[in-house]
Amino acid sequence: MVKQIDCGSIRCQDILTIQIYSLLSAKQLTCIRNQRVLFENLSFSVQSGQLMYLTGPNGAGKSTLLRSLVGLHQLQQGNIELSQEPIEDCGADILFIGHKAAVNEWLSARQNIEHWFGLKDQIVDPQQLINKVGLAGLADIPVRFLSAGQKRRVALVRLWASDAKLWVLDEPFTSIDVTGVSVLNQLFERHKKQGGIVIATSHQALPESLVDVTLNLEYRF
Amino acid sequence: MSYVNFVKQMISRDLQIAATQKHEFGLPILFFVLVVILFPITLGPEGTQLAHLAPAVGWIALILSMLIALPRMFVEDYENGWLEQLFLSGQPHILIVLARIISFWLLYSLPLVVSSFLLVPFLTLPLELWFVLVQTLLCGSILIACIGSVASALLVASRKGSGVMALLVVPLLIPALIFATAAMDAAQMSLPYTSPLMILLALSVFALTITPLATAQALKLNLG
Repeated sequence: MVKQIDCGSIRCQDILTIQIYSLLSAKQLTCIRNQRVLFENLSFSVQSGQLMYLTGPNGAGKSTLLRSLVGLHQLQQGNIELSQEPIEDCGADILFIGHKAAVNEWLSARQNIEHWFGLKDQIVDPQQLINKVGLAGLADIPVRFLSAGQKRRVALVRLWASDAKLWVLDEPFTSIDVTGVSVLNQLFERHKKQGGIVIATSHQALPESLVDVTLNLEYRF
Repeated sequence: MSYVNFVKQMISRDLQIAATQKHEFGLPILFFVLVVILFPITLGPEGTQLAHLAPAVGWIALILSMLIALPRMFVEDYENGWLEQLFLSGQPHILIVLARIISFWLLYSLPLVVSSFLLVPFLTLPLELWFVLVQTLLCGSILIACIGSVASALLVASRKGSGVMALLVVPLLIPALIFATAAMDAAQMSLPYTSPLMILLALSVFALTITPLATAQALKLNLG
């Protein structure tokens, strides 16, 4: 099984050397949206090699919290640091895959992959990655002709070759089938072993062995 | 990654996407051609009158055609999440905007400026006046792309942007129109037209320097 998630020639050594020890700390986070307090004075920290599982009902503020953690959403109060640096300066260390997966439907999977990794200045072999996510033969047709699950797989290609320390994933399992989910879990495991941090939301339960920290956001009125 | 490489990569991505959506890309040009053709049909074949109106027709057609394209400047990348990834990439936000302005200008403005040559046969614009007009249109189209980028970024989350877009952009173009008209009038009377043209150029350089700041901030607000 390990072979299946082996990252092959894709800068595996770089991944191992870059990720030494890192710590994500969030202090006194407060978010008010549409005159409703989503969370107040929320503090937590996640260490290298840990996975934080964020749960809560719809509208509790999970996505907003994730967007704040990567610096896309401006919170009313609080500060977030990754290895003692403000999160706004850590762009290169973060892999964020949100509801909008940054897949351009007019381009092919190969072109999308080239653009993502080009942005991080990372050289990858798109064909190899596409084969790994089970889309062999579909590399050059526009993504809009693929099914919802296949589109999601294209988006998640980034997990295979990412050298970011912090993975922030909003509902990564949406439209992914059972085998896909188990492969993703193995990827999370590998990332943890390499000293990375994973923060994920999911309405589908994650295996208990994988989760180190659980944060439950409640819906507040 | 060096800044130059980053901008190059962004522009080549935009060109790649435009190549897959040729119908969208051709629309403003077709509109421009239609407006230019409509004038001689409605005004009649009187040569001197048409030639006198030609610069105005060129400018108005340019503004209207660009207004068709402007709402699309950031919408697609905002909706599919690519903008978020760009803002997280650690590259300066101004550079992201600047790259988009350049690719937008190459894709939507430059073809319009070139198609203004149609004014020569259709509105009997003398060729030497067309050379002056092209210079004003070149400066003007940069200005429209810059000012339009701010409006486009502000309206990126609202689906009914195009009407408001015109209200935001057109009033700001009046100074440019005044100097462009001054340059054309001077050229028509065979007087030196360099100074109004220089002021027009200064306006577009000024816009190119200032507007990316505002556009980046507006996009950030909409992403938050």
